[in-house]
Amino acid sequence: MRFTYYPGCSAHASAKEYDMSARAVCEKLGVELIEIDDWNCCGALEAENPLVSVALSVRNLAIAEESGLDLAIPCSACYFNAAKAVKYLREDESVQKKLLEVDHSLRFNDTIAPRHLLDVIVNEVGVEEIRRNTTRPLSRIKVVPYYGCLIGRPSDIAFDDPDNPRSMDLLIEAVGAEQPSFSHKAKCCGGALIMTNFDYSMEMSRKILEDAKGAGADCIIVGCPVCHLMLDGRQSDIEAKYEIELKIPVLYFTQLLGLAFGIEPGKLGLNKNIVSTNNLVSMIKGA
Amino acid sequence: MGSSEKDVTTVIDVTKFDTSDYKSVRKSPRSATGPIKAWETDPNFKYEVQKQPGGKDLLYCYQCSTCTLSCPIREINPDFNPRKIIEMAVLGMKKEILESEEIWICASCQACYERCPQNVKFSEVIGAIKQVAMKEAQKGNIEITSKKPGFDGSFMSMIERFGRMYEPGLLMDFLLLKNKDLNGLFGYMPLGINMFKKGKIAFFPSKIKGMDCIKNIFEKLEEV
Repeated sequence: MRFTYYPGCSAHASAKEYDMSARAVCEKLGVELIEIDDWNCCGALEAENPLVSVALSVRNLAIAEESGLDLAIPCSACYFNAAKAVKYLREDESVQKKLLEVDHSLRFNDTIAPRHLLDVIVNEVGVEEIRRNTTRPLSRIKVVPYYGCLIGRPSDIAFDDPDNPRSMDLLIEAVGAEQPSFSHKAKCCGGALIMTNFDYSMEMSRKILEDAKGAGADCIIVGCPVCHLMLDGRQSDIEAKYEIELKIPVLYFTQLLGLAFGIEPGKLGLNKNIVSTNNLVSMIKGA
Repeated sequence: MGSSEKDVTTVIDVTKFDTSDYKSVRKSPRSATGPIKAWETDPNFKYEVQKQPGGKDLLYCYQCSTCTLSCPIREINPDFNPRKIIEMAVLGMKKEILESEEIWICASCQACYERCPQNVKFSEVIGAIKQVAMKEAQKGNIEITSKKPGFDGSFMSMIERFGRMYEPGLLMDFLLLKNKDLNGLFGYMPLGINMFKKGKIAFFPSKIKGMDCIKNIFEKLEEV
């Protein structure tokens, strides 16, 4: 199975462990990821001008299209922008015309599709294959999946169920971990507001973390670098602000899969998570 | 009957309301400013919003409040009310909307987009309203107090220069150059140092090769 791969800017910065673990896990699953050449930033949620946002994603989609392979995207915001760009092009023919006036390279013929990496792993590789590769079942730990916004919403762009997304639930089940009920799985972490409305995003992430803690989870898994930066990177700030203790590791779903597949923690970047994952790893190893 | 007559006189006594420093859409458009002064509204505003990408379905709204009840910002700040923002846009309360903080605190969670029974897609409409706000601010017609457009501008300027994000540059541009916010910069330090230790901060920007295309995108589309 082959896909083109768009790592996104955070893969070179705050989400290095996502990129590392995605590559390691895909290799194990026989999914070849071919990084597209000279990709650009998608504009995240900061490209207020919708046409600029579409143009930035179309440049990447056009590069991927040359190879004829669907484009796997690990970041939910990058995925949202790419899928939204395709929707804009389909709904309004004048958009493609306008883009070609801007730059001749901005042509997308809609012959390939952007796919969230989670979608690729759950729906293309399949849960059965995950189960088959699980050499070290994670039956000792409790895991809650945090989807955030863009994996399920809006349903004309995202791939999972908007009200009760299930793709990571299926993965947790496949690797044999316990899954306590967790009501904040599709709530918003407030990541888009961290630089301008700090208090809002801290409060939004606090609710998610406390719900996970209250559910007795040993770790949270996510599929988005923005969610990860809030729940993992900002966790100690949240503890200080609200005078609470959380200390709950937040892993990318690919890191959890890698542990179940018996891949070395170093290859999964588990030392790069801000909240220490050491205890979790020893629990899994049964030490 | 006597008491209800008294209520009526209270409601129509507009002189009691001070609207001089009204910058927020906090109260209902009617109760906060008194009756809407039709001569101060702009009946074309709704069409202006509709013309922006994302704004076209504005007039399908039938004020059911599903957007407001789905909103995670609303859970924290009860004054934030997407339904009311749409109502005010339809009524043509242009200046009040465009100068309010509220249009800049949407977290883009897409719950309102997903659940709207009329497909108005509030998260898209608010994008259209923000486009109008930035254009009016550029012309000097309104004043934006929120820091969000400044942050978005800093973010986009990194892409314009390098084709990719460059976080240290973003923080310098937004916190230091735009806001002279040393406290903000120090507040970022503990996480920054931690990230640095874990090799998660790129010291130097990496510039892509295809900058001609990026330049065209910014030059030709930011004008529209």
